[in-house]
Amino acid sequence: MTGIGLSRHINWSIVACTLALVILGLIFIYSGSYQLMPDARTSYVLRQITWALIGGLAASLFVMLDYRKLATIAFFIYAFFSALLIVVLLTSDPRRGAQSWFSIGAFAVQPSEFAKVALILALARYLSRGDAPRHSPSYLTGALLLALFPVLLILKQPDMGSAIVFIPVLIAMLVAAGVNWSYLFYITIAGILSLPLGWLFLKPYQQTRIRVFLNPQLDPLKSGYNAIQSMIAVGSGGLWGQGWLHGTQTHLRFLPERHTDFIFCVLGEETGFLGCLLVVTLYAIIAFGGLRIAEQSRDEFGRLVAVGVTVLLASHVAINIGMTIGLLPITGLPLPLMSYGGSSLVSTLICLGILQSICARRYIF
Amino acid sequence: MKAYPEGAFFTSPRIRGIGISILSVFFLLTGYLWHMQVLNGAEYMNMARKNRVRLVRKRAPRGVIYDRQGDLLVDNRASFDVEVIPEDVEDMERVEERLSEVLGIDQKKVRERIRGQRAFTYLPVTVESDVTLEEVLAIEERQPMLAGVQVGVYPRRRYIYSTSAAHLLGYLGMINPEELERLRGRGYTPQDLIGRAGVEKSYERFLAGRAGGQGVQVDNRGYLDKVLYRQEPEQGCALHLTLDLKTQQAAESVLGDGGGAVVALDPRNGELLAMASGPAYDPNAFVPPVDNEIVRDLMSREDHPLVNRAIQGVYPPGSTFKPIVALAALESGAVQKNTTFECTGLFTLGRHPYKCWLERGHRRLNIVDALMFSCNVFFYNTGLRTGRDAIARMACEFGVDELSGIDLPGEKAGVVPTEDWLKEMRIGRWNPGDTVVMAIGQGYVLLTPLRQAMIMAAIANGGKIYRPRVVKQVVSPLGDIVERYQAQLIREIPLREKDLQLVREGLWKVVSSNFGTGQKARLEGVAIAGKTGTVQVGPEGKRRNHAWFVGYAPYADPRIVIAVLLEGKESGGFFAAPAAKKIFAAYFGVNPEDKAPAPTGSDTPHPAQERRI
Repeated sequence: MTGIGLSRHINWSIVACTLALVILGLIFIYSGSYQLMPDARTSYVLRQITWALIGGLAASLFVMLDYRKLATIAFFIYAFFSALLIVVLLTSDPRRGAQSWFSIGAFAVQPSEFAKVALILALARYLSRGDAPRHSPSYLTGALLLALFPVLLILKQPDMGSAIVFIPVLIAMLVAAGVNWSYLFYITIAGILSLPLGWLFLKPYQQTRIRVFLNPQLDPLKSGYNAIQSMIAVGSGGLWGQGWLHGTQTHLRFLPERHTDFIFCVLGEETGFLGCLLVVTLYAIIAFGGLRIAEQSRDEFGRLVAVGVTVLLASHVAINIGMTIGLLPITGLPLPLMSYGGSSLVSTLICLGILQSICARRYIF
Repeated sequence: MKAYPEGAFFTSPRIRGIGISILSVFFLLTGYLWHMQVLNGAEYMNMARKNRVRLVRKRAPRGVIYDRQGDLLVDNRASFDVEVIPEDVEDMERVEERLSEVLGIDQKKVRERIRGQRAFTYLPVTVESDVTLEEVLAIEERQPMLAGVQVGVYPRRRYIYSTSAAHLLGYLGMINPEELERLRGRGYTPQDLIGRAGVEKSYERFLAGRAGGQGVQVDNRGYLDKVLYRQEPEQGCALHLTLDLKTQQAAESVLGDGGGAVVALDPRNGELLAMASGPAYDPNAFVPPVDNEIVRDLMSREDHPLVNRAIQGVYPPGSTFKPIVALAALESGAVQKNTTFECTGLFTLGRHPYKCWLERGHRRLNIVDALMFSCNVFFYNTGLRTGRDAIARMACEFGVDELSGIDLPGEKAGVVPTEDWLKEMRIGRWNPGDTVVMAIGQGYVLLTPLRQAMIMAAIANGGKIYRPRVVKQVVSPLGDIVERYQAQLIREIPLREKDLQLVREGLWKVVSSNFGTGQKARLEGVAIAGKTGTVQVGPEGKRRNHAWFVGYAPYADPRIVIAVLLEGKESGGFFAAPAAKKIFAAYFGVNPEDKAPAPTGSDTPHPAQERRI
């Protein structure tokens, strides 16, 4: 199929929403880095534009690529990014205490963002095997083991946020693959029972974050500080917001990751509820478009990949916003398409490219 | 890959389920946002406006510094700084204008200062430091019109004796980004000062103390609402130096405005009693508000006032090197107590003549008298017989080429020339003439005034090399002793007592004999031993002399060693020896003007003395 032929079949509403979110992201990255020196401010925006162009190019390539080719190499991709996760653990400089970056010139690449996509492809490939014994527990165990390996590596970094998003993604893909409800029920029970065990594996600061989340007044000036300040920022936006560049709270206070993980605070404070509603709606349109593509997909691999990337995106959005408004503990996860950060933007755009590739080929048998 | 017919796996209801889940989560988020922003927006707005939490940092006063008698050398005074918190200023232009009026600074300059330092809008930016009380009052009066302007009271370093012991105490400078990175986690901020030289630098971790601060709520005009928590800053620890202020001041007085260095130390434990370097500077010049012109001048002047010549200046030792040559000769057996050489005023090696400083010669003399007269010809002969390697070995035993390990930053090691060193410096091959020249401390040997004092200390104390120390103890603000430094023996040179005794006798005669070159160091009531030296340095045409005197006292029970180096002075005997005498006098509390006693002891009658060396 030619490029022109493809364009007839791709989902343009998703493209439009994506573009809108990236542009909104640039606007509020500028605002979020406002109190930095003017040079730094523009350099964040310029770098993000560079990443958006790279991501857009990558996404176009993935649209043109037949996604079924990805199925054949899914396990290679999975192995490659798992290896990268090991390498990053072994080699990277500890940056902000976490070993999750590769430095390439002025840019830093976070392989865990790409590993998420790789895992979705591998899971889809595994779950969609034609001869899969779908109702046997071993089918399920295989999927769990497949997911567990990269998740443990990511937890080791430690990047709790990225590890946690896999839970909804995995569950959604199992649901879509038609796994018995009873199994899903047991997994959930097992998951809940293993929570206390997981607690022991958390770093002390992560435990503190969760304790503070449960009771922000525990430590209002230190660990609880970010949570409280980000809530005040979003809340003070009101219905209309303070206006672009006029949010005092985000500019003033100690939100060290305003332009990355807390970009939603800037948006919330400066554009108020209406801005937030707009952004949530844009994400919802993308998510429903994604699920629609899943449903229309002509093969199960495509369906599962579409479900995986859609739920991944939606989970990122929900967890990120949930943490900025105090519904979830602060775990450090970017807001897709809007947060400053190349790896997140590029990998999200690649996800959307794969989604469009599935969409464009829904009428092919 | 096989495609599945629609409905075969009961896909739709499950995907619908996923869709409903996503939708409900998004609804939950939107609902919560509505609750926060619309229903409770006013409340959050209130919190944002009125209950701003601000962390106000309070700098810790640096630790004070005492001399060994407990006299205060460095302390802190209060200084009033006018600061602006850009975030709190509504009309920056008006504030700039008013500040320029009150402080009498050009408005453009006020603006530059605010812009220049501004990193975070909620952190105060210093517009002018050390303002007068009148200016403080003027600002307080206009406070309602100067929202965002505040007066901070900060401890500021004060070097009580100005230039005194400047090089040893060091000075402070703004912390740079590299240091910030390196000291991350120790609580420094970009506005902090840090030790740049001297003990201010080497004892930074004790002196710095710990900054405190308070979390305060401020209202929307920036006024303090309520203090949420407070942590008092902890003053840095006090340093008790081994320095003796009297001796130190005497050392500085002999340097005057000229270049040079004085080191005085206790040969029994390596404690530094005085360390002066000339020309000196006033470390107060580096305390904000810094006059850039003064600092730039200090940094760029050709006579390098910031260099601590006592530990960073390497000089040829000249005749002060002769005791080492003598010890090398005696230890190797090349020369004995009764070995004599004839000095005719000239020594020839091949066809090359080497002169003694006394043209008509010293006639025949032994090693003790050769030291007393500082006879070059004797040492030319001795040097050749002993050989370069034995001399170099002895110099290395005394640590000439090593760092002393003194607790001050920036120390330089001296040089003991080796074959490799010559190659490295592209000087060429060693020839016997170099050995001859080395024997009188000229040529390639270089050392610092501190090392000179350490060598003399080792001769006085029987060969022990102690690590020199400036700080005796570190005491916390509560009076607890945090560190107490003991004498640290680096090495004991295996010397025979009888050899040492011969050298000491020579050194004693240098001062006490009527024919000794160091007579001008003679002091009423104190038996001093020492050695003079005069060296020529610099290239042909720009050649100049430096004068050395290195000595110890009392002769029988040495308690102080003094090394004096005067740059640009003609002769060690005529300039450095009397300078050393003044310092000895200050240390022993003796009047240097008292007539020194007539020479005593085994004086060898000999042709009349002449000047030099």
